Amino acid sequence: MHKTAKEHGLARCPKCHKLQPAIQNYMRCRRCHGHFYLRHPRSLQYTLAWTISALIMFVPANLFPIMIYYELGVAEPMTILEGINSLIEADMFPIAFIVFTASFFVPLAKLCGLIFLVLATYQKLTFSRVYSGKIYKIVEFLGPWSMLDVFVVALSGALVKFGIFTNVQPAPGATYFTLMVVFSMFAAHSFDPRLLWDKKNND
Amino acid sequence: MSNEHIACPRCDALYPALPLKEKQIALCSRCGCKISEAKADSINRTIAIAIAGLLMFVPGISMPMVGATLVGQHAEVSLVDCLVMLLQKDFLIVAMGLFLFTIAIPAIRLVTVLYICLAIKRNQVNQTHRQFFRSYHFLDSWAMLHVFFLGVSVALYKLAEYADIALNVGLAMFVGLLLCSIFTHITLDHHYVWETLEQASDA
Ligand SMILES: [Zn+2]
Ligand SMILES: [Zn+2]
Repeated sequence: MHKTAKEHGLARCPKCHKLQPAIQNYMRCRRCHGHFYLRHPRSLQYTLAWTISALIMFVPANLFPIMIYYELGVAEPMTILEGINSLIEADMFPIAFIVFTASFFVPLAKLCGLIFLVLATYQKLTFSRVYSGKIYKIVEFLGPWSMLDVFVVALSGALVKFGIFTNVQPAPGATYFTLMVVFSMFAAHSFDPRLLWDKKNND
Repeated sequence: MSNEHIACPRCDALYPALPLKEKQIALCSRCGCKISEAKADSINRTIAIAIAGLLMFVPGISMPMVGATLVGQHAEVSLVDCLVMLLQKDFLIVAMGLFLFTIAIPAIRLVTVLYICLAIKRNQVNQTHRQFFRSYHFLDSWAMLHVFFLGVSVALYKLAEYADIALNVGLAMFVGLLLCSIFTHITLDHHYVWETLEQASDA
């Protein structure tokens, strides 16, 4: 059976990866001199709090238009889903699929994944540890990709300025969307995957 | 004692630290996560790539990346133009996100990596390098050049429908910067750097 470093009284610095005797739960790394926890005492609470904040931001991010499209002076606000819909109507399926995945499916799946991980750790579900570890890996990897639509809006807004003919401007949804991405990345960073593997009766 | 063992970053399983040969990778047998990797000629390669990245940095963000022509009007944008547009329209949070994720953090990472590798190469390591390298780890997942590049592609694909699109030199520079940023991450041997930093200050 595998034994963890913690069971041997060793702690691993999350920044420089140095193993050192775990004197207390909060300590200073011998190598990089940064402070770190053996296990963050409130890792799950922080993760859940950031996840809920991100979920709350997800609502205005989708309800408010992310950009306004002016054609011949007529304003046409577009939310993320309306934007995807217009791509489908224009028969741009691959691009619609990328935008849908990056800006709608992935953020939602990420937040659901984080809630699942918090519950799995809280309930000490042992059967799903390898599986949960993989979920965490995916959630961590996907983090930055959700910014895609915000960057598209920033670039279109700066590029498409053809006076009265066509004009693109960013709209409030972009702000909420940025906040949602940042909050969900904080959530993923707050989660300590090692908690999944700690034994049941280890504090 | 703590240098004789290594622990898995994801599940905390403890293993004896076997010296790795060049290009060998240590994987965790419990959760499958990569524990450490011995990279070939890490310092020299990283210095070369970081210098190339920094040379392309200023043109990459300030030269026009793409242009669009519609009804006789021509517009060109660079990354900085996107930022200026967001600031003019008072999208401060989005502008902050764009600035941090695509300009500030990639720049800090390249400079940090170059600074530390040069110090190691010239055998002039001191305490402050640890602080620098610790911040490098902290910024790891916040560089989003690759996402911005996908954003540019998506925006162009959408615009190509009604405007004439032109690719400019800035885009090539930006792609170069993006590749250098990815390659420094691949060539840099964290484990080796930390061991060197540690030995230098112990002596
Ligand atoms: Zn450390
Ligand atoms: Zn592992």
